[in-house]
Amino acid sequence: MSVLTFKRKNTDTLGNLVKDPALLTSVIVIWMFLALFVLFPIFKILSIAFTEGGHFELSGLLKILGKKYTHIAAWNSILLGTLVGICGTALGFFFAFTAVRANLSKSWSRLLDWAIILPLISPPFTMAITVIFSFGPRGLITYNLLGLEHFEVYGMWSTLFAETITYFPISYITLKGILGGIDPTVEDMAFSLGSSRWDVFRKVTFPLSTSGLANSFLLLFAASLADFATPLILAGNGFPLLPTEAFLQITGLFDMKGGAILSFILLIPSLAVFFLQRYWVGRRNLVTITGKSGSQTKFKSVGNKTRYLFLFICLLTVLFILYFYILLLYASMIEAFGANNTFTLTHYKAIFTRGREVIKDTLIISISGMLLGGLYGVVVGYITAKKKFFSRKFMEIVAMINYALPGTIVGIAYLIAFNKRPIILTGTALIIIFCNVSKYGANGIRSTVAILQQIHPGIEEASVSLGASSIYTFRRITVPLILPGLFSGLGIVFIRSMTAISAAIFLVSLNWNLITVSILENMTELHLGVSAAFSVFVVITVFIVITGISFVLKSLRQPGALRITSLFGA
Amino acid sequence: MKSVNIKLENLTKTYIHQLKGKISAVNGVSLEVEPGELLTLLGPSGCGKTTTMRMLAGFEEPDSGKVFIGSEDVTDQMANQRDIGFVFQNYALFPHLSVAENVAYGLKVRGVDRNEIGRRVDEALQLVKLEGYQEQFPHQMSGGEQQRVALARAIVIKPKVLLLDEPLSNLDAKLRISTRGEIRRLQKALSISTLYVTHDQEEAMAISDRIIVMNHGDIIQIGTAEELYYNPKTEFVAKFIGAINAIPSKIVSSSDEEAVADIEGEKFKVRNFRKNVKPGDSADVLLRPEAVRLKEVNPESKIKGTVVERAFLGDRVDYTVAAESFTIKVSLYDSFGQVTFKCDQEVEIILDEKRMKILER
Ligand SMILES: Nc1ncnc2c1ncn2[C@@H]1O[C@H](COP(=O)(O)OP(=O)(O)O)[C@@H](O)[C@H]1O
Ligand SMILES: [Mg+2]
Repeated sequence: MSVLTFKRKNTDTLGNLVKDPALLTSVIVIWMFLALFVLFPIFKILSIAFTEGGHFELSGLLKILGKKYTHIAAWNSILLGTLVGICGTALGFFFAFTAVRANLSKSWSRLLDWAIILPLISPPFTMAITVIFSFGPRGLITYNLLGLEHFEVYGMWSTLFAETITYFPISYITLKGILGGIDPTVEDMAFSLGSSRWDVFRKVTFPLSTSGLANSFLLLFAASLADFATPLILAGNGFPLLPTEAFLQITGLFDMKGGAILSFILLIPSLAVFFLQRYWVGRRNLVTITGKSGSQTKFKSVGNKTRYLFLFICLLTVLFILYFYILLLYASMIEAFGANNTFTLTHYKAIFTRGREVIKDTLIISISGMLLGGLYGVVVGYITAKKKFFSRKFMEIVAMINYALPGTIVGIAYLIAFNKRPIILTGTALIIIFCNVSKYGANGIRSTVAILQQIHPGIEEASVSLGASSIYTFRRITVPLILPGLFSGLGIVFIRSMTAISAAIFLVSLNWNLITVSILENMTELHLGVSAAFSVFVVITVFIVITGISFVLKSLRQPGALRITSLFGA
Repeated sequence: MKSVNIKLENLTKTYIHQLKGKISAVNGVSLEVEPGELLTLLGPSGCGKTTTMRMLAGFEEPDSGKVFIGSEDVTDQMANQRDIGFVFQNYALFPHLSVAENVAYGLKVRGVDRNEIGRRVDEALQLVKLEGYQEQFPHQMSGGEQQRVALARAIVIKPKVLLLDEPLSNLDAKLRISTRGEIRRLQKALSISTLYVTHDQEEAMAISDRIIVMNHGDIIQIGTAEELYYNPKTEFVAKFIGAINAIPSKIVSSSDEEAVADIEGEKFKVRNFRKNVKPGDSADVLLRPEAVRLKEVNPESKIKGTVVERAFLGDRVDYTVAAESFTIKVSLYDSFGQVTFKCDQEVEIILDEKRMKILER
């Protein structure tokens, strides 16, 4: 029997593998990849944290754990994560509620969707840069507008602000799905029983979305916990956080062990949140009351005045986001921000001449990561969702580990694991590509699994019953149906390869550098214009690729073709 | 095309469930579908109907037993070699293909040439009354229309065997009745040997040449709708096919095929098909609702009860009547202007002795 037979297997047995050489081969290859690029680095980082000179030793760990500074950084990370979770969820809920409940016209809700896409496709610290442009010592708002001389932008509040704007779209996407899934007749029912609008919101709509709110909170908490670049730019010395401290420990003090231990502390809350989100909240919010009735009734839960107020506030936020991006564009096209405002294209010239190698490296790494990662996502997703074999459950979990871990940990783990024999990858493009594939390819796994769960197993059997061989069925039925999963997987790996920095910053080298890292370097050297130009380049490139992918998705004639936001479906 | 018969010999299938352990889904089922016949597997959910059908289709490997289509032993053939048309409960239409492409799929697989495919697709869509729907996609269609696409897709390949697994269960009541008529008409016109699965006894009775009643993986009885209704072999069949009352009684005496049963002090001579019934045993006497009559109470009344429920259904009135030791359903047909009764009214219950029986449980 081959991978492609459709007789249903009931249990995960070793026998299934032995009988099925194609499945066996795929499983072995995937396990080799996972062992090498997920388990081995994790093992290395743990062993460096827990051993000394080859044997088990906790003194190093305890010493760092005992430091006051560590406590402060850990506390700050959790505090910031909690605040970002709350603020981002609040803002996201507000947007989602407006989008779903305010009976917006098609073009208005499309505007909302697009404005929210911007933070999602930018390098994660774009917002941090524009915050400096606006509120920094020479900021447009603080200095030029308000005339403040010594406004202190660095610290918790600016970090919180930037992360909230950066990550609230995740909350918006999550909550929009939930709110949109509540059957309007449920609310009608409450109205018919005499409730006021406020009562309906308080007693029906809000309680029905609590699992979604919890889900959004956890996702944002994790995003903030893992965020590295925003605090590096904005947090300053007075507000240390775990990922930045780990980074400084390694790059500033060359203390690999200290960095490993600091990032290890991060590992515990990250994994806890991941499993909580995935196996508890994430599971529950799928089964809220969905209106299968296809009822045509409109939502009546928002009055006209409220509606305009909501719309106004959302528009204001959207304008704010647009302002940040226009500012970025502006900063990339003037001589020196805050000092000399004459128009120039020198920064663009710089990135396309001196920066050419970096752009080339980034594109090579992103494109190869995209192809590999897209394939990886679909294959692992298909095999774990459709096939029964020994070690399947374990594979499912291991394939999610790098995705769940903050990039800082993954980066440090790779750094430690691959700079010595037996496997030396330091200084190569491969180390960055594999890191991206193992971390962001997981998105493709999730979207493939989600699609496969919607495809009734009978569909493949229907094809077989009509006389098709299993290979024909796979080609004509299964592959076309999981193509959207492939494309959104490709898209995510590409976007993240272009924009992420927290893992890659440990893995770049003289030979292979990345745009995001260059942006950061130029920031610290105060070449703000070059940073801005690079950022604009990234945003535009990613935007083009996303548009291309959503165009392909539409043309695949899928029923209810995936929308762009579903690329990020949380 | 000539119709063929289908034979299942002693099919068994056991599943290993992670929590419940071994589940024997099908225990030694043997049956034969005559050429051109529509045979229905009827039974409660979980009794093994789908498993039986899937073994016939080749989706499930039997632990033991044989499958014949015509004179050919197909037990070891793959599903795609068996020449069957399968209609799934959820239709399982290909969502990325148009209606025409869905229907054409099996023909394409068989390498039929393009003009011929176009012609046969149109013909099949005409048969299921979906002309003009060629370019639509499944998600743009109603449940009933999707159902008919699934049917067209299955019959267009002119299969030797048609298998339908609860094809109507996702439709609303009205549509179920009209669609089952269409399926039957089509099946007769094409004269395809057909196995049909349902858990709905009315549907089974309306559509089938013969019905097989299954329970817990076993065949309980095979027969026409009339045979099953009038001569059920067991209490299970009697209760599953049509409505029936089970009236508790004490056995007074018993001989071969006959017993005297005591119901609220009255003695009835009933037909007995249960082995080992001894005087003093309790046994349920079975009686259909239409074999009970009601009368206004009078001093001679023997078994008395009170009307607790009354439903006027046009052609008949259904009552639920509570006697001292049992509750009974009664259907009174409105022939010759029968007297009707009101709720809470006290009535005399008259039981038709000739139609009472005791069956194997
Ligand atoms: N793939 C399977 N794995 C384990 N048990 C199964 C499987 N398919 C069916 N069963 C069990 O076998 C029994 C018969 O199922 P099925 O044939 O689907 O019944 P029906 O179609 O009559 O409702 C049920 O108890 C069901 O739970
Ligand atoms: Mg079934």
